[in-house]
Amino acid sequence: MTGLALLQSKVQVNDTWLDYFIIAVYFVFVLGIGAVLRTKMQTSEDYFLSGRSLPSWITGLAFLGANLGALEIMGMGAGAAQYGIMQSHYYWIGAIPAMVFVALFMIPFYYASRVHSVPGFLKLRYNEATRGFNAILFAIFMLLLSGINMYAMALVFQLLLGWSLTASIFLSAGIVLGYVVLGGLSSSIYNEVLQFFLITLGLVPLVVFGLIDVGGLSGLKESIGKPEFFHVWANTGSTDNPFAVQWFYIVFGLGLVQSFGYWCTDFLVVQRALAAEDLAASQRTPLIAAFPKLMYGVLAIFPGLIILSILPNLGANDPNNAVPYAMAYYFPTGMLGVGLTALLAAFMSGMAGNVTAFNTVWTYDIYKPYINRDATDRHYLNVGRIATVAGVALSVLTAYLVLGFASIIDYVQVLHGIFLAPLFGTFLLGMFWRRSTGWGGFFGLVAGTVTGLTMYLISLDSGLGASMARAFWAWIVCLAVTIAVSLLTQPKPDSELRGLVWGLTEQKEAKEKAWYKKPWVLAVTVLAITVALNIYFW
Amino acid sequence: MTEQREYLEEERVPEHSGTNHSMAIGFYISALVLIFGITLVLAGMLTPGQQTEGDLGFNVNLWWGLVMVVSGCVILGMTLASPRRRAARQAGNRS
Repeated sequence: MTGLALLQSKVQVNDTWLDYFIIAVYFVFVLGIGAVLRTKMQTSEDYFLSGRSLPSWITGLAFLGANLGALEIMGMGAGAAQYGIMQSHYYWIGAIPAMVFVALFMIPFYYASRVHSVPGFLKLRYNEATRGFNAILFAIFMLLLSGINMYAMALVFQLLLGWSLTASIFLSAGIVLGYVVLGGLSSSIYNEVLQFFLITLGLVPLVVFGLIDVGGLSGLKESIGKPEFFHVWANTGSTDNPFAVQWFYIVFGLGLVQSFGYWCTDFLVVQRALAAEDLAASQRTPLIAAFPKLMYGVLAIFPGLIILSILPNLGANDPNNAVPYAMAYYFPTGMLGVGLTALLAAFMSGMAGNVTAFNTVWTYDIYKPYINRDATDRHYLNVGRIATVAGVALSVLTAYLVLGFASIIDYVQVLHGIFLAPLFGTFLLGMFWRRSTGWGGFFGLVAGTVTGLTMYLISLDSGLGASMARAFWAWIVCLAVTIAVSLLTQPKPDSELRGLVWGLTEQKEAKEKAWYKKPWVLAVTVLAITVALNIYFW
Repeated sequence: MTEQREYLEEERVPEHSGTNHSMAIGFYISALVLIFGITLVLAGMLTPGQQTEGDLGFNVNLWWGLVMVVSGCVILGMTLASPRRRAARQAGNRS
């Protein structure tokens, strides 16, 4: 504890009324827009998909905004302090290829079938049991993720106000609840786009000023004195690298399973693309988001490295605070308010996103089919609101789970390996192999989830490399069991699979006349930049 | 422009209350960014020489405030000039 105190004494938070003023302005805006919009939201379709009427630049930025939660900002900064620049694998190989895949292959499916959620797809493609199992897992997953945002938000308040963690968590819960009750969720797309701009305007100066201070990239390398922290691929032939994992698991565990699992099946994100005005705009959404995502591989990672030059032991002691400390160190009062607002915006909208997803799944995939089948639209809307309040309350509890892990990013990746990796296997077979059957999907998903969970419980290793390997094996088990059980059970007739399986779906060709908006042009460009960045930081 | 309109008509799903969201989002964001930017510029001019441990020797609030003001103006300009807004205005004039 003395080590931590020493650490903190080096970074003092000089906040004044000016920072509180800026944070207050942000909350007035967010709550104000929520109150205005709430009166306009009539149907539950409106509430969840914003009426499918938005242009792609908005859905694209909202898509990324929904992804830029605590994990992305504090988590990636924390990861950079622990593992160095290798952390940007989570942005480059761990995001871009999957985002391209989602745009080209997944969105037309989702768009054509008009499912509300991943469980909706699972029911049509597999069976009720698969859908039900996934809906329950997903609801739990969302609550666990929402706790991370709550915890991250509490850390910022703790730093800012000097309160205890518990008091800060309750303050965060109160704020999030107020935000939701006052209609914040109805404006989640507004706030996700806003958040994209706030985070960018808060992180760019941090990276720029930080690099000026330490003397550029070369100065940063010298002052940290850990050459292995500046390579993304070096020494991945062995485990002698910061992640302690070989390239195989980076490419297949992270790049394939974890990343595709997240981007294809986290419908909190996918939902943003479906809110676009037409198929072409939906397809473009993940591609538009991919460009700033590339940039965040630098923006979110470098603050974690820069702060290491000032607090060399942060990575081992208190990595979660890397980004807030960097802000407190470089930003004078005023700028500090803007930077902290960007962080709070990220946690707020991240949590709002988790809670929205939780209430959608609870309302449409658990409550409606199992508890109250024939109620009015208004009734389900109210159930959704109650679910939101309960979700916030449960997130207070899950926030404390984060304390058991070295950093936020470690915790999130443990969750992804268990919850998303097997689901991706089920999805892949469901979409591309028409022979896979309802019970094949169910047992595959259960087996994969049990594998991931068991591997974690046996080792209790929450390092990033371990999570990559776990994700890979959970996925393999899911695939193997799905295939085996499918071959033993009756296949579904093709007529039931129309619109659900590749090759049995009449996909509308998205007509896009402007060449710079064509999906493959955007896809090739973003992939080329990704390769270039990986070579530059090899 | 006409090509784009044709395409939109053809694929458009039934309109909901969200049709004007894109403009509203532009105004919403530019307003907040401008307020933050102006606040920083004022703070930078009225209280120069704020010290932090990582003092960089220039007025961080003033300069980044200016960047934010410019960003806010760009977002506002793009919102005002967006084809959608022009199309909406044309449709409004016709009716």
